[in-house]
Amino acid sequence: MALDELLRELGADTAIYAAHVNPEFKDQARHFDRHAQDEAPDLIIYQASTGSPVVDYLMTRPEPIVINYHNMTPAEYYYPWRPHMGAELEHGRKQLGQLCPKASAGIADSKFNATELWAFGLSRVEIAPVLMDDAVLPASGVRRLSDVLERGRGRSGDPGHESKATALFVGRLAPNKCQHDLLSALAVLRRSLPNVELALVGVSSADSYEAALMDYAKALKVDDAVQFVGSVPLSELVGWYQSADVFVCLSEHEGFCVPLVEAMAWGVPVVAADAAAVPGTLNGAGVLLPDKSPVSVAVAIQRVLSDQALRHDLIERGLGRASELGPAAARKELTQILARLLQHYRTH
Amino acid sequence: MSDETTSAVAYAKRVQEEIQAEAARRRRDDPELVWHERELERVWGELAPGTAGKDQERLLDRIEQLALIDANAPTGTKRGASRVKRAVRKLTRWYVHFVVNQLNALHHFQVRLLKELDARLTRLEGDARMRAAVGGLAASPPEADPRLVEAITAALAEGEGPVVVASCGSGVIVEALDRAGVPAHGVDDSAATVGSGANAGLDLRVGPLTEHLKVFADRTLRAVVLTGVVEHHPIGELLLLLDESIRCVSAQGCVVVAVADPSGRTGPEAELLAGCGLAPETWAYLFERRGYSTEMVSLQGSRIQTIVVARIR
Repeated sequence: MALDELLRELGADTAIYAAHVNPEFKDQARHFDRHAQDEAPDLIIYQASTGSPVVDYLMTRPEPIVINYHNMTPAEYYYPWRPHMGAELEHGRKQLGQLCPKASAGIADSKFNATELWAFGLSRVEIAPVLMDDAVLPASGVRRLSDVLERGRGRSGDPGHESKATALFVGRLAPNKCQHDLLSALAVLRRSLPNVELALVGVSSADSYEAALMDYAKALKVDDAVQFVGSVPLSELVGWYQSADVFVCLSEHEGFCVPLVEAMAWGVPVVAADAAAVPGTLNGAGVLLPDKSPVSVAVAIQRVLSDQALRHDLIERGLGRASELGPAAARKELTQILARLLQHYRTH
Repeated sequence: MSDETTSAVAYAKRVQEEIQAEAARRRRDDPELVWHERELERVWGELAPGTAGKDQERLLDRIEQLALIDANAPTGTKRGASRVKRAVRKLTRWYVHFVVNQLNALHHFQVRLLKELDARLTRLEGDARMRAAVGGLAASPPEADPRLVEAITAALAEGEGPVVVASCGSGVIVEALDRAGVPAHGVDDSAATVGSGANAGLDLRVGPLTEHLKVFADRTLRAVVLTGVVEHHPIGELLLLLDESIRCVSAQGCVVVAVADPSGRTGPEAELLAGCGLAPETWAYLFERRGYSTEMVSLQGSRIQTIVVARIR
């Protein structure tokens, strides 16, 4: 929808088609089988996210196609937990491999995602950050450093044995996001900081994985220190960012990771596993861990909670990085890309 | 890179190293911590089907344990119904045992099959590792020399549709075809190799050669050129590549094979690449076996002395 809005701002006449139209959006979108009857467009932008009959249809179309790609989770993460989702993702990736050589261009939200399109044979790929939801960010885009430090004063300080602290992760409960590694790290961390708590905000994407996480927390005897918050309204999500002392992301596969930017915008220092698109999104604004063994993660969290100079530095860098990736910058870059594409394909 | 960025990178690296050193120190000073980490892994391994893949042997053991179904269901209960349960068990014993015996036999053979497959996969992985290691050790063939490029371009002067050059290296053949007005793109399985050509504006793509050809419909290409590290591929892969190439090429098109004769290899490469690549005469034989005529273009004095041009009619 945000993309559609930008295209209209650029003067394009647009229509949205989908394989399944949510009744909520029935006035804005049509089923894709209507497309062939409508007037042929200058350009088709396809949002690739999973296996879809739309790709089979697009393979028969003569119009230039632009793939908008925010990544697909590799199927192997889902096969053991939710096999049909794994099959859909595998199908989606196969279709992407078929569509890329036919497509004219791609838009990716990270270099990591662009590399996947390049590997599939799509040579013209432009990169622009995700258009994030303003409602989750501070009114000015990022918090002021002085406000963050003021809030932190006397709360984190030097966390001794009795200090309370909250580690936060926001994202679907999903095997590729490795919330089980967060629980392992928490179990080790609580040996030295028994009052540290972990909040996992995000809806489950595989019930069996969620159940295993809960059983794991119980088996490790940290269930009293973990909150499985689930899905929350945006206003509540903001509250979690405001109250967190550290944001910890141990995902093995992320195409961009919007919550990293949200955390940085709220002045929460980040500890993350060095994997997939995460290093690119952070760009030096967080502690990156090449090894995410429980002890290493626990040491990193403890260091970020206790080392005031490091904490200050991470917050400052994080605020700067969040500004670079914020909605204003993303909107500007995406508008430029779309304008170039429209100009090119209107004249060709 | 600016001074600020350099110092930020150095700082981040130092923090990372300090964290790793501190983690190592804690493990050294507290042996229980090492045990704790192993225990965490074990507990998660029991709960998660996903992690079992990292420890194939443990997964197979677990399957073997679970595969054996016990027909004697427990009858203990807190509410005194154990007598009823025992009676039901006795009454249904003839049926339950009959079914369970069949299931146990089925599971036994499934576990045997899984173990056999595991052993075969292990052997295949070993071969693949060996091939990957050899691929890294053997030097890539040199780029096509001007005479070869000229001969290939001449062979492709006629026909319709685009040309695919596999494996294209830095794109000298694609560049020559571009200059000759023949629409062409290259594909190579190494991003590093295509880098300079792609940066110079040539249409060079990265990916497995056979997989790349699979995206084309039947009889849509003017030609496929097989050259470069095609010389290093094992025979099974070459046969797949050959059939995919023939499938894609149009009725007036051709498949051009420009490879050196493996029998000319000397030194370490002769051993490292044993079983890889085919001689031009063998390529010609394979095309002819499939019913296509071939021409042999001779290039005396070149590393690649013979080019095979198979006409797909």
